[in-house]
This record gives sequence, structure tokens and C-alpha cells, in this order.
Amino acid sequence: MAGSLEAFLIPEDTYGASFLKALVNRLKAEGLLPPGVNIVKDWKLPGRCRPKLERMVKAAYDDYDRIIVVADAEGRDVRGVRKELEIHIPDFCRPKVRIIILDYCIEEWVCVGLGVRFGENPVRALKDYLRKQRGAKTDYHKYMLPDFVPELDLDRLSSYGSFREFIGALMP
Amino acid sequence: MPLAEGVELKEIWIKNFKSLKDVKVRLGEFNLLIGPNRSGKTNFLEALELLKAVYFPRPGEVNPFLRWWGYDRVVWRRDESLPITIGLSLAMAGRDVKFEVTFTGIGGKFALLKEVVEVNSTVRLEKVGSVLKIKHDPEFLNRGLKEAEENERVKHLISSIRAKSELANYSVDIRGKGTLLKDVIYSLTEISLENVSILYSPAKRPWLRGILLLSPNVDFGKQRTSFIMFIRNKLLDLLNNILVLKAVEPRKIKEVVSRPAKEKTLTSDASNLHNVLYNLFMENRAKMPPRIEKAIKDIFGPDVYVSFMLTEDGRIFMRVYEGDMPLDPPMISDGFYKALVVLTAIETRPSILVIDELENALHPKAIQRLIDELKNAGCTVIAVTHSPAVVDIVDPEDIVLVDRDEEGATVMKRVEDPEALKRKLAERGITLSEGWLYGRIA
Ligand SMILES: Nc1ncnc2c1ncn2[C@@H]1O[C@H](COP(=O)(O)OP(=O)(O)O)[C@@H](O)[C@H]1O
Ligand SMILES: [Mg+2]
Repeated sequence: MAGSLEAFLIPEDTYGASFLKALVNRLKAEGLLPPGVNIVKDWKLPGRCRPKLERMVKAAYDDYDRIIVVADAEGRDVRGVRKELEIHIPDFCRPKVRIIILDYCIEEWVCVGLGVRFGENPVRALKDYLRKQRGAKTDYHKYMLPDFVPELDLDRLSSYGSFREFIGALMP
Repeated sequence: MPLAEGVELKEIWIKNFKSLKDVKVRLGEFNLLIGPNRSGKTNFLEALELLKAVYFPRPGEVNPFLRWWGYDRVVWRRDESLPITIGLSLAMAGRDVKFEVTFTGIGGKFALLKEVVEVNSTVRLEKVGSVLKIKHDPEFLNRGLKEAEENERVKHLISSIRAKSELANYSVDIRGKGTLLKDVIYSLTEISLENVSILYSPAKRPWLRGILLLSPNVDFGKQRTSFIMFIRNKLLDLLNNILVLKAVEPRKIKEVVSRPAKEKTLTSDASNLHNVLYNLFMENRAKMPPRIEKAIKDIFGPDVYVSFMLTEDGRIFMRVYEGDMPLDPPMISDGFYKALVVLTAIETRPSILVIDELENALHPKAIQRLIDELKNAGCTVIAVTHSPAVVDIVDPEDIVLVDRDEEGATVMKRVEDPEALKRKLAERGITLSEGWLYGRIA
């Protein structure tokens, strides 16, 4: 069907998966992604030694239109991290695979979307922001990630490189 | 008793039981159910437990739904106005047979609403409330009547019960209680000719007056009997010998040290393992049945064996020897108990053996052996697993994928083209479990 796309999402962790899925729903609701775009399966990126990624991609290749890896660079060289992952993508799978690397971690999108400056530590920036906004006792936990989705300023996010890549990766 | 020679369970369908709003699944001899949590795997197993309970309640049990705290807990979306239906299709002695039962528990009362027994292209019996409907296939009926009319005694009998012209399709209100499968068919008198049998109302049961049906024959042992009576007996055996094992807890089994009792079948939590195994042990002249003994040695080591001791006050307890060291129940590993439960279950020769969470407490190597035993158990096996290691032991044909749809109803699917899937997996060098977890194998 034109305008439809079924994606297999491979995020750094399961919190990222719920965040990204909620985000995709909002993007669809606001017309930034076609309604036929769906993340139909997600599976946590395997740990640091990643030959398992190759097996996942091979197993998924025929069954989805797109396979999207969203990985954290945690401050390391983004190109190096991308290379580390690409080694595990077999050549025949490349046309369907998109790798998106976050400079630090997924919280940086939340910071960008909320207009919070994060320097080199988006998680700490988010914690500080929450304390200021909601009182000293508020702490940030990863499970809260999807709750931020409605609050994000999508215009601001749209000028952020890795987010733009993510939208691009989901375009049919 | 295992499925009799020539009896093959081919399909099962369930309506309105818990999340099984409307499912139909093809069955092989060995079936492995896989799927996410709360997709309805355990519900499927429980439906089989319920089917057995409908015809073979526990002593004193008048309402099988009380096992689940009442009807509204087991009916789809707690809608008591819906009845539950469970059906089986089987191949028996070369013929296709369909059996279906519909029942309810509305208002706290268990009631059978409808039963159907149908033999493909011959005869169909349907009991709805107290009305029995009998339908003959016209061609079969003609052939049968022709044979019957050549027999002086039978010819007379037929016309005295019902006009020939009515036989293709008629109803009788039999008012009496009882089930079609257990009571009505059994009450009929039967005369077997060369190719057909005539079953009819016996004089001493006036409420069955007006019933006459023709059935094909089957050679059973040295006897030729009606196929209808044969499937009635076989179906009841099948239902009575369904064994559902869920939530097996080794800890609970270990605690039971009781006097020997004549228990021949395991309970669904296998808490009576010691007793059932003790009986098998005694039947085999105070030795473990060879299948169990061999499997235990292969799985746990050549110097491991099981025996039974009697306490001074006459209770039995199991003792496992590792070489010369005797282990009493608290010293025995959970995995050992789990393996023993599965092996004992097979040894009790069920018709359908159903096992939830097969892999619990077991190492993949132990599971390999148990799956081999299950595949050679001579009965229909339905097992549930969450373990990729177990999935990789079996073939794509063995797999039943269970999932839930948007409204929470269970969906069950088989791998559509197992050969194509095998080719793809081989080409890609990935395992079946990887295909299952990351891709879509059906
Ligand atoms: N009466 C009912 N009607 C509809 N759905 C039910 C009913 N009872 C239980 N369920 C569903 O069944 C689910 C549990 O299914 P179960 O078979 O135990 O899952 P699993 O596949 O993990 O073994 C519950 O989460 C609920 O959604
Ligand atoms: Mg379960």
C-alpha cells in the first residue's frame, strides 16, 4: 500500500522502545509521518559484543519494510560507533537498514524538545530541569520517557540531526 | 489410555472460553505453543481441562466452572449470556468424525445445550436441549435401507418405528436428561448386518421412542459393531484420558509423603507424583518402568536411579540414589522432579497430554530428551514454551503461534509453508527461534 511502512525497531533499551513508539504515534497524529507507518516489532539492541545484531537483521529482513537501529554513542565518536554497528549488517540487508546514532542517549531528544541545554550529560540536565520545574523531590527515571512525548516541541526537535534522520528512516 | 490405533485428533475449535473467542487449530502429534505472555496459551490448555470436566467431573463436582470461581470468569469478556463451544475433528478407523459440545453456566448452573456427533457422509446426531435430531446422508441411507430390507426381521422393525420417508432428517423429543455421548447412544439397541448397523429405541426406555438410525460398521477386536457406538466409546476414552499439567511445583510435590493410594493419573499440579509413580513402580514389580529409568540415566547420569521406601507408619517416600548416596525429597533438585513429572505423565498413557511451561527448571539438554520422549509418547502432545532453546529443538511444523488481537482475543496460527521457512532459515543461517523472535514465521 502506498504510504504505508512496517518497521522493526532496535533501540538501545526497552524504555527507548516505548518512547519512540509513543513519539511515532504523535508524529502521525500531527501529520509529520503518514498514518500507514507502524513500528510492528521492537527488540532491544544486543549487548556490546554484537554479532547477534547480524542474526536479528537477517531474521527480520524479509518481514519488514525497514529495520531501524537507534543506538547511543554516549559521547564517543559517532562515526566510530556507526562503524561498529555496520560491521554486523550483512550487505544484502543494507537497503532496508537505517542506523541512527545519538550523541549521548535518547534523553537528548527530550532535552531538545523541552528546550533544555544538556551539554555533555542529557540525563543530568533532565534531572535538574525536573527538580526546578516540579520540586526538589522529583527524580528522573527511565520509565518516565514516554510521558515526555506530548510535551516535546516538534519544531525544535525537527532541526536536530538524529531526529531528522529518524523521521527520514520511517518515510515510506 | 493413549489414542486407540487408528484414532487421530486432527483439529480442535473453541468458542467463548476466556480469551478464546473463536479459535480453530490444526493439531499434529506433537504441538508446541509459543507466544507472548497473556496471549491465551494457558487458556487453551484449560479449555481441554474443561472439556474433560464436562463429561468426567471430579467426584461430587456439579459445576466445573467453580474451578475458575464461576462461569463469568471463564466466558469471553465475562458475558454470561454467551455459551461455550468446544469441538474436535478426528480421523477414526479411516473416517472423518466431528464432535462438538456447547454448554453454559449462566445463573450458577451448569447446563449442556448442544452436542453434535457427525460421521462424514453418513450420519449426524445433534441433541439440542431435549430434542434429538437425526440426519442421514441420502445416498448412505438408500444403501443401508436396501441392505436392511433384505433382512426379514430388520425390515419389519424399521417400518414399525418410523416411516422410511422421514429417515433422511427428523427430530425426536426425548425429554429425558443425560448426554448424547454418554447416555443416549449407549441406550440404543443395535443390530449389525454385513455393512450397516441399525440402532433403535429399546422397548424398555419409552422416552427414547421413535429413534432409528443407520450407522456404518467397524471391526472392533473380533466383533463387528456400529461405528456410532465405536466412536462413542473411543471419544469418551479420549475425553477421560486428557491429562493437563499446569503450574507444576516441585516444592509442593516434595512435601507429599502419604500412604499409598490407588491413584493412576496425575493431578494438574502433579502434587500426587509420588503416589502415581509408586503405583507404576509396583506394577512393574518394584522397578522403575524402563522408559523412565533410561531417560533419568541419560539426562542425569548413569549412576542415578529412583526407588521407593516405606516409613514405619506405612507411608511412601521417594528416594533417589546418586551412586551410593541416597537423596530424600528435600535433597532432590527441582529439575529432577520436573523431568520425572513429564516422564511419569507419558507412562500413565494419556490420550492428550498437555504441559504448560515445559522448560521450567530444565536445562536445554534435559528438554531435548523429554521432547524426544514426548514425540514418541503415542498420544497427542500439546506443550507450551517461552524458551528459544526449546523452539530450536523442534521443527517448524510442530509450532503453533499464539497471539492476541486488538480486542484481546486469542489468535492461533501454524507456519503456513514449513518447507519454505526451512529453506529461508538455512539460506540465512539463522535459527527457528531467531525467525520467531525477530521475524514473522507465519
Ligand atoms: N473471561 C475472559 N474473557 C476474555 N479474556 C480473558 C478472560 N479470562 C482471561 N482472559 C485473558 O486471558 C489472559 C491470560 O491468558 P493466559 O492463557 O493465561 O496467557 P498465557 O499465554 O501467558 O498463558 C488475560 O490477560 C486476559 O486478557
Ligand atoms: Mg501461561
